[in-house]
Amino acid sequence: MKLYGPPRKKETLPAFLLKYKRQFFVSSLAGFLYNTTIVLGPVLLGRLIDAAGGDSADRLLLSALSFVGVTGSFQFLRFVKRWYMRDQFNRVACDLRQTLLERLLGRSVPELSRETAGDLMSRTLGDITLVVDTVMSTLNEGWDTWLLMISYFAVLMIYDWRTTLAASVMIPAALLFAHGMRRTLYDCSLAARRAASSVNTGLKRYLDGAFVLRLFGRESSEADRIEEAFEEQAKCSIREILLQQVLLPVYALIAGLGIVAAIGLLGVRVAEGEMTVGELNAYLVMFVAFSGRTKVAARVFNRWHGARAAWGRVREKMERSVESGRGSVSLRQCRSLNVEGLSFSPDGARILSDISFSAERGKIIGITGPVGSGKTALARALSGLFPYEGSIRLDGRELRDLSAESRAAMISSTGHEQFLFSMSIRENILLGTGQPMRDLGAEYDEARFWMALRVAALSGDISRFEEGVGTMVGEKGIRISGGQRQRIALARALYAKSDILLLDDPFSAVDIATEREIVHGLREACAERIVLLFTHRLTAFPLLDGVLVMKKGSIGEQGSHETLMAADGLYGGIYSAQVFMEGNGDEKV
Amino acid sequence: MKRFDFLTGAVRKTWGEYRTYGVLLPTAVAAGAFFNVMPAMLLKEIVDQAASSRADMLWKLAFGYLGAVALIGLADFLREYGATVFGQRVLLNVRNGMLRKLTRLPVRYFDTTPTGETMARLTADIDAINSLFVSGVVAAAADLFKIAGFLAALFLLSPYLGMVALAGVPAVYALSDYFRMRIYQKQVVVRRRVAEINTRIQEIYTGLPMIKSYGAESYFAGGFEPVLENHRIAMNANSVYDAWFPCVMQTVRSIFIAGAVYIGARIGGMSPETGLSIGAISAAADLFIRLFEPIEAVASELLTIQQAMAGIDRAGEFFAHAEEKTDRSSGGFRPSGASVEVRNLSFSYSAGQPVLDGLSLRVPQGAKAVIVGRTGSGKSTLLHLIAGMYGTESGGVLIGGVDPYRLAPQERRRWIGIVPQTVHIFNGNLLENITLRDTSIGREQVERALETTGLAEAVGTLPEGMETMLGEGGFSLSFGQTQLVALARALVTDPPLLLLDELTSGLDAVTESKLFAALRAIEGERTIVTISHRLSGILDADVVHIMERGKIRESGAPEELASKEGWYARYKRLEESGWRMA
Repeated sequence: MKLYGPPRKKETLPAFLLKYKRQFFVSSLAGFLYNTTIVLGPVLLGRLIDAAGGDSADRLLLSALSFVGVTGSFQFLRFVKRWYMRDQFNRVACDLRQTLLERLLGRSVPELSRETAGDLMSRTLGDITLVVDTVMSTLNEGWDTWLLMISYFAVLMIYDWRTTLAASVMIPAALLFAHGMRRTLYDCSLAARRAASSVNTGLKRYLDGAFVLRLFGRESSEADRIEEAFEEQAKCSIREILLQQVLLPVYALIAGLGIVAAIGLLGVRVAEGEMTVGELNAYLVMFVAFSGRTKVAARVFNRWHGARAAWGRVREKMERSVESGRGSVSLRQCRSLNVEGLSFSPDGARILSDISFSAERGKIIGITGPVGSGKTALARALSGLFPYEGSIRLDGRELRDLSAESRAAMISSTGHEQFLFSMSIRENILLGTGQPMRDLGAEYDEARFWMALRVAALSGDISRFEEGVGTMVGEKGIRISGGQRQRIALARALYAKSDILLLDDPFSAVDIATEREIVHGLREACAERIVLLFTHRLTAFPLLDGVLVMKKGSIGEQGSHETLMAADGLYGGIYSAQVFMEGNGDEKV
Repeated sequence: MKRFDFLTGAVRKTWGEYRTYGVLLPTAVAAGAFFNVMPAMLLKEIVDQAASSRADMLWKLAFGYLGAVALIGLADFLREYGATVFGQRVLLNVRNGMLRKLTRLPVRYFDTTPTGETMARLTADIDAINSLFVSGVVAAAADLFKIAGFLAALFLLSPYLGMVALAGVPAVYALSDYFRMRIYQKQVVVRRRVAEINTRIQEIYTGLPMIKSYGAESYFAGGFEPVLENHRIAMNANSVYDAWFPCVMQTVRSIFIAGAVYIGARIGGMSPETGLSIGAISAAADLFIRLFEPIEAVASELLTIQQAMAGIDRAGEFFAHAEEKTDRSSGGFRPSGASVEVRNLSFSYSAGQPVLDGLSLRVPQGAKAVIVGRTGSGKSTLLHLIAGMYGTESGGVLIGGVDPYRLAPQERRRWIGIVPQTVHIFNGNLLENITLRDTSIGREQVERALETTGLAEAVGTLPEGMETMLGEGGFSLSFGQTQLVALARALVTDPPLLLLDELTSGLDAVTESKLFAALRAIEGERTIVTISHRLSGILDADVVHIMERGKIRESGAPEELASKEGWYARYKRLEESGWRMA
């Protein structure tokens, strides 16, 4: 069952929030009740004190019990409010994250290549957290500050409206004062942040350049500079903290001035018997609570600016993909690959032009060339994930017309950087089948899995791991060597039931002997597939069925290994030089 | 305890300089505890006066109450002031200590420790020490004093009430500690779950092309849900305690207040003459209200202290790193010339993976040698060993008969000029980037270096000449100019030995020829060792050494090597056809 996702109709922030109507309703109701009944606490405490001054033991006991009982009740309402609110917002965060991730996964590869992982991460984590926290604390403040202050004020007015008005004169002044100080505080904390960032810059500069500084014997002079920045940072921090602290007694005094009025005016009423001692106590407790809230009343609005920008960033990436042009033709198998007049300009500039070749099922074609000749670009063009000009036909069907599912099912590739997820080796290999994670077992083909491991020459490595194919790789598990990484990516491509394998530089971190072993394995295992091997290392090429030599984005030489050697062109020269150098370098192996 | 040595040292130093603030601190804490009791005591008088219909003193008492509130604010302020100034100064001393430590760490430390980690030691971990001091120790002391003050006041009002409060303190503390601990434990789990989300989306976002290529979108979209759900469950587990905590505490508080009033009223058997006055009962209720806050706070402060200890431990670990063994400051070593001799040198960064494997090499004074090898053959390591960055394990390196590792920092720059593979431009002006803020280098020396490297002309066109700011936010030099600046940086002290690491890699032909012209101009009697992964642009070399897997494979003059069908010749052929050499 699907746990999280967008709300059904609109995808606005309120729509995301109202997906959880029950939680919202319960927390709102509890919030309203709590912040209105809370005034009963001080009122009943006043009654209790009056009862203490009276002479009825029963009344005293009853007052004590009702004070505790009522307090417990509205505190329970408060708990209900807090819990349902948290539950709702925790779920909303999940919905937002899942929606964002799904939308991003739905984008086309050219669209995605304009994104950076770091940026997407900060939107998925930091921005969503900021949005959710701000909305929640605003809602919370709405209840616990504004409604609370209104409730207290109303009751204070009922007790004695003249005194309350006199005592509250200073409250707006306190709010204004806080508002006025905001600028100064902001400037001060900005200065502190600047000082901290100059410390960070200085440190980073030192650490990044540590080697140069040591080479030239300049470390201590750099350290002196950073020390100055430390000093500045300390001064700024002191100033910032003091400014924050100096405001607190000022608030206390402002509230205190109100208390003087309350004591003076109400004390006289008590003395004259118009008011009980308990009522005076209740009044004072409520007034202190009321004036104390002014401190936090204005705080929440400061966060809105940042939260709105964060929501904008989240929304932007939550837009549905505008990907188009993907066809709907489905294809079950592919016996031949025909490339004709292929040109490729992924970022505007043309990298490949006029490439034509064909390959049959059961053949392994080697594609090589100098640095920058277009090997990787050709692999990318053939992956079908990018727009191209010319024609790439799989059994006569144009690649760009295939449905996304057919394309993924027909072509698998190791990718230029062999990407492993921090999951088990087994999962890393199986994920190529594209099944939802929990359904992985369903189509699991054990024989095929072990074939993939064997051909990728991983069996030996796996048997040395304590947990075999269940071994975790990456962050949570062992460190995998570059060669093992390449071979796991190869096994993934082999396990996928695709008819075309694009192997981009799969052997650069694998030694020559293993490379040969793998190519022999590919021969046996891929009798029903078309394999294109992109590499600059030619040692295994005599074992292949054909060779394409790329040159400046086009095909320079084409033919079998033997014909190209006989022709004694670029290929022949490079092949013999490499064989000599590898042979020489391998002495120790 | 040894791990605290750095901290006690810093505190001692601060005490010497900022004693006033150190004294202010406990004074403010003690005074604060006393002032906090005053409002309740005044309330007693106010209520008793009002109840007995003697209104004459009321206004005076009201202003007295205001005065007490003001004094509390003042004491809080002074406490924070003392704690902040003293605390920040302690931090400053710890930070400076760490900085000096950095200059004494071996190069190996910088090789193996990511910048971010060291940054965290000097910033976040230090901030943890700050919170230990200000929101931990000082706040806890202030709260403990307040508790003591309230208890004393309650005992003064009535020993019975004092007893009730005294019994209440540990109970309330235990309850609040229970919640704090639970919340903390759940937060640890939440943080772990956040890290899982982090890992997962980082992988997904980096692996997007792979996921698209295999059509595995739904696999990963589906796989993300359990990760989110685990996080939500952890959050909710935390929310339960978080939601209950203040509600339970407030309810418990009401029980204690009700109990106090009840007991207070019953002491005299419900008779105003023998029992507590109504004012005293009001004061007791007020004191109980106030008593709860510091008790709850102490529980969280102790937790803060506990967490901050981890930061102290990490800082302690940093200070425990072994420092460079050699004593460089003595400067008693002077090379007799600029010849380089490497004898049977083996070297490895980690055991069992030798980078250099019994390598020997001689470059006589005034010779130009080039070492060619593929990426990973150990060339750069060799150059850094010649520059004296690492102590050698076996065999050795001698420059003019002296181990370069033992040269004093200033001495090294006089003898060895080095242009490392990646040029590091510091944020600062051009002049500083060449002198590296060494004020003993005169302006005319810099001008000469700019002239030799052919930069002088380019500098003339810069907006502020040698004072033009470079680096982040500053003027950006071209790649070639950057290389020339690095060369000028090496040449400015006119060293007799020059070490060049991949000087011309990635340069266009024009800049390359400019650079060669500059090098030819300064050759003279200088010894020059260049390393390169390319053969082009080494035409001027007297001797070429081909290096592979930590050893020299082939040596000889370029013409001699080119004439025989060996490494050099084939290497050249591959290179000329543009094949990848890595």
